[in-house]
Order: sequence, then structure tokens, then C-alpha cells
Amino acid sequence: MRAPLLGLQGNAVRYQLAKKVGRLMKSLLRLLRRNATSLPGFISLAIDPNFLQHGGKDVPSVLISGTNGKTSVTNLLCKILEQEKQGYVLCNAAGSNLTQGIASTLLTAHRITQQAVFEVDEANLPSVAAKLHPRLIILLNLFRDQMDRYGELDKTAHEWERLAATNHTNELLLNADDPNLGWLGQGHPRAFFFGIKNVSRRLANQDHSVLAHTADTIISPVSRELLIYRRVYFSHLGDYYDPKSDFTRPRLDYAIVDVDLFGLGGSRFRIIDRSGKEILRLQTRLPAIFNVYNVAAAAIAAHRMGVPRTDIEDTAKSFIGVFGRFETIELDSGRKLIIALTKNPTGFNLVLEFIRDHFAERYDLLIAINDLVADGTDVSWLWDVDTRLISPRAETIYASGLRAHQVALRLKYSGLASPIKVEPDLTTVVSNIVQQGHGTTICCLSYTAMTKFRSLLVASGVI
Amino acid sequence: MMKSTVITIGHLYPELLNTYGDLGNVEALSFRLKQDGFSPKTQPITIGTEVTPGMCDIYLIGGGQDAAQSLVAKDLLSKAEALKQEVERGTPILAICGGYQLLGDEYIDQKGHRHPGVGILPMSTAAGTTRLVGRLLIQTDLIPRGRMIGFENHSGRTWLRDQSLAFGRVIHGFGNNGQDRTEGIRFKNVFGTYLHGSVLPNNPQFTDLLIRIIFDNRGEQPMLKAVDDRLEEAAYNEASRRLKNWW
Repeated sequence: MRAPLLGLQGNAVRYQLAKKVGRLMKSLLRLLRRNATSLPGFISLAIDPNFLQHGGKDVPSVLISGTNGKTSVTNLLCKILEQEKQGYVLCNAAGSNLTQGIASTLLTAHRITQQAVFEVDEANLPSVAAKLHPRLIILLNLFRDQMDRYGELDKTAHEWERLAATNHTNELLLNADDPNLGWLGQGHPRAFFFGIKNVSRRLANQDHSVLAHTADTIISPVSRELLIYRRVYFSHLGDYYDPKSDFTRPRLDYAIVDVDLFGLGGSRFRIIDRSGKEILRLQTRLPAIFNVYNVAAAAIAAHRMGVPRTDIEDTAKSFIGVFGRFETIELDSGRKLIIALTKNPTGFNLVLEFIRDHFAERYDLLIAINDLVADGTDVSWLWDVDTRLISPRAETIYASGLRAHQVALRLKYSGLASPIKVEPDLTTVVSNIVQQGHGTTICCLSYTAMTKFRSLLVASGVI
Repeated sequence: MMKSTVITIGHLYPELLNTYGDLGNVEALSFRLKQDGFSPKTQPITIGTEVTPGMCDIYLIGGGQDAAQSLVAKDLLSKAEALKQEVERGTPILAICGGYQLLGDEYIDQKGHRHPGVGILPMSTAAGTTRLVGRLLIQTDLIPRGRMIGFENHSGRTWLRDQSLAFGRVIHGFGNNGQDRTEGIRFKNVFGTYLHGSVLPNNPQFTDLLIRIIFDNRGEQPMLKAVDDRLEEAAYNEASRRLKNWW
């Protein structure tokens, strides 16, 4: 065999081998009931380092990234696309958002798979995008999360900037309300911006002028001076401008207007284009303003992909969200659990604020924080959570997880009136809640605590 | 009967040097002062705010991201004289990570450019290419317990002009530079360290040390109440158990 032919054949053979072995591994794991979702992908990549490039050639992909909201947006977009093309859409589960996890998901692509939607971890986005050549990249936000992995927020922002600067073939859908994203999309020939233009009069009466303590990026990427906000929707998302340069929130290609929030009942808003024409009228059961951004992102992406308006609106309306992203689970006799993923100060503060503003009843609060790699091994972030937001209606607070005592310490130093019970073992806590809890228990969980929590609930027959 | 003495905690650049949970240090100090029967008051000091001698009983400065630190560095130089006077008066300063670096002689960035620091601490910092990240355990003579625990995350390598000024010695982790096993600095009543965690809530004897210095400066010898530190103990043990396990 001549050398060039060998090379070509070699590539294809490698890829096929990687695919076969990967699929075999997947079946094996399923048989053994093991949950190592990324292992097959890891192996495929080891056999063929260009596995993603090869696998991604046949399946156009949409990539979704950001600190908060990736999973919800990916799930919703998948559901919308599936309405039209059942069986044709490939999506990755949360927890499979690193390169290996995406490779693993690609292993399940069939001949009829027409579209892939992947959530991608922020640090992995540039390399995954370079390999998959996605048709669309949706960027939601950048908050401080897992500092030990990312080192600094600015570093990830810089890497995303480089991705946008060096790659003009992908379409970008960007949340203009995040200054990092408003900046990196500037001058990009295929960037589209969405953001909140206005809220209902009722909502407008709340004070938006004060930035929360956990505003990460309030420095202008241009002048390196402080940004000024005309409106803040939460954390550092809002309508901003740089007093020392002409950097300002970009003009919105898709403006979210007339936002109305109904507490646990969800929200309602419209999306208009540049000419003011209404494109979508959306209603969602997902609560709080950060979900307005999430639902809008998925809906706008679907609209750009040609999905009919009614399909988008219907799916968004019935979408109940992803496990643990502010999900309500009914136990019995009126008892219920509300589960929220809290893995960084922004998310946590939002959850606490939401509870304070929308919970009239008394409740028990469970905070379970682990410090495994997936949670972020540095729990210093707990000290940036504004625990004064914990309302006095919290009856008992349970501190659990691998850093249960750190949680309790954080609470102690906040001077809260509610009694704090430390129980590091999540199994015991869940058992207590399921058997003896009364009323509502709100559970704030870090990432691996959330997955453990889920399996405990499944094991006890609750879900 | 104890007077309710007002103790002013100067919190430097709270909205800029705020990315590593060092707010917990302000909380810890306030909490323990309250427990002791005093009235802590937090005084935010930011860009453009003037520092005057005697303005605060203690100053805290935390860590932040590069962009924020550049902004702060410029402004800190304008406060340098005032802060130096405070240091001469024996006012305690707790400086974490970026804040610690900025108080030194100079900072040398990735490109080799030298940036002047405030010049309070006899040390300098050079940017490294890798980050020194992880759980940090040190031995220290500053407190009876002899150990402090926390978490570090910095690319700067700090070199002390005099190693005997180290805040502590590294048992597990990197400390100042990952090479000479020193961590932090104690110079006059200025304490610089790379310990996040936050450091004060997790190491209450250190908080108490700072409180005693505050009152020494005021010429007072208050009776500090015996505090129930069992939770802090448990948190410390929990953190120690997590030192080596990453899974």
C-alpha cells in the first residue's frame, strides 16, 4: 500500500475502531449498571485523537456554554427540536459536558441523527468548537464558578474572546446583558445579541440600581475602569456602559420585553426583533429572572433554526425544567421538596432571594456542599453567599455534605436565628426528611451532592 | 459593665477585591467582636476614598482578578503614605492574596515589567506561568494551635527579603512560592497570606490575635469572653480530612 493511501485509510480505520470500541464500552457499562458516562468517550479519544472532528462531520451541532443555565437551555432546545424531528436529535446529559463526555454522546449517533445539541463546559468550549465546527454557539453568561479549575474568570473570558476573534464561520448567539459577551461579539460578522429590554411596570418598581456583592465583571474590558449600569437584572447582567470609552451593551437583535415574574409560577415575556416585530410570546413554568434568559436563549436559537413559532411556544410552556434546577417534588400529604443547584455565589444568592421573595410559608432548609472536583475543591465561595438572605421563615437549617461543618460555620457567622443541625451524611438527612419532614424542605445542593441526592430519592422510591 | 466600644473595620476595595470569599474575614471579625460585647462597624474604602490616620482599628484587603487588581494598584499608590503611617502606629492589616501582593515592594508581570507596590512589606512577587492552587496547611508560631488551614489560588510567586518574617511554614501546599516553604509574612502588625478559606473563620485563634492587637493599640485590656469554638474545631478537622482527597 502506498503511503498517502495508508494515511487516509489509517485515519478512517482509526475512527471506526474508536467508534466500535467506544460503543462496546458503553454497552458493557450499561450491562454492569455503571455510571461512568465519559469513559467510553475517553477511550475513543485515546484511540483516535481526532474522534470529535470525524464524528462531528456528519452531525451538525449546536454548542451551549456559560456558567449557569447550560443544562436547562440544552434540555429545552433539545425538546423543541425533538418535536419536529423525533429520534433525530442528539443531546448530551449534564455531567457529560467535557470533551470526553461529548465524545461519549457522539457514540450514540445513528445514521438518522440530524442534529446534535451539546452543553459544553466553559473551559472546554474553545477546543470542542474548533473540532466540531458547530453551526451555532450559544453563550449565556460568565460568573465566578469553580475558581480552582478556571484560575480566574478573566482567563476563560479571554479564551472565549480568542475563539470569537479567530473563528468567524460559526454563528454566535450571545447574551448581551453580560459585558464579557457584549464585548467578545463586537465586530463578529455572525454574532446575534439577545438581552432584556424592559420589564412589566410591576417589576420595574423594584430597585435595580444596586449591584449585588457577587458582581464579578464590573470592569470594562476596554478601558479597565468600572462599568456603570442603567439597569441590573441580576449579578452583573444588565444594561451597562463604560463611561471612559464607547463600549456599551450592544444593540439587541432579539430584545426580551414585558417580562413578568410570577414567583414559583414562572414567568411571561415577549421577544421582538430589531424592527420591533414580535417573534415569540413565551410563557414558562421555570421561576426567576435567570430562567427568562435561559428560555429566551433556547427559543431564539430554535427560531433561528427555522422551528415554527407555535412549536417553540408550546414546548417552552410545558417544559418543567431539569432535575434540580429549582424543581418541586411532591412527597405526600402536602409535603414537598424544592431542589436547587447551588454551586457558586451568584446562583446561591438568587435562590435565597427567590425564596425570601416568594415563600410565605415556613420551611426547612437543607444546604449540602461537597468539595469534589466537579463541585470545585475550594469552598471559599461559600463566604460570598449572602446568607442574610435566608428568611426568618426558615425553621431548621440542615448542613450536610463533605463540608457540612464549613456550611455550618458560614451560617453561624451570619448570626441566623434558626437552629442549625450538622449532619454530613446525606443518606441520613434524606431519610430524615422523607420520613419525618413536614411541610416544605428547600434543598440547596452543590453538584455532586445533587447527583447523590437524586439517587437517594430514587432509591427511596420518591421519584 | 462593659462599654460598647465601637471598633472600625476598614474593608479595602470590597467591590473589586472580592472574588475569593475574603468577605468571610470581615464577617468573622465582626462576629467575634460582637460576641465579646463590642460594636464592630465596617468602613468600606474604595477608589478615591481617602485614608486618614486612626480612621480604622484594622484594615482588611482581599484578593481579586487581574483586571481588578490593576485598577486597585493604581489607587493604592495614592493611599500608600497614609497606610504606611497606619503601619507605623501599629494598626493591624490583614492582606490576602492579591491584596498581600500589592503591599509589597514590587510586582513583576508575565512580560517582565516591574510594577511598584505600596512598599509596606519587604517582599516582591513575580508572576508565574502556572497557578499554585490547592488546600494549604501551614505551621505557625502566631497562635497556640500552631497550625492554620485554608486554600490557595495564585500565579504570583512571592519572595521574602527575610525568610524569618514568614507568617508560617508550609506543611501541605505551595505557600509563597512553592519552593522555600515559607507562607505569607508578618511584618510589624501587617499579616499577609495566600490563605483563602476564608482564613479567619477557619482559624479563630488568628481572629482573636488580631482583636488583641486592636485593643493593645487602644491601650485597653478587655476581658475577651471564652468562645465556644467547637464548630470551628470540627470545621478544621473536616478541612484536614479533605487535604489529600480529591475524590
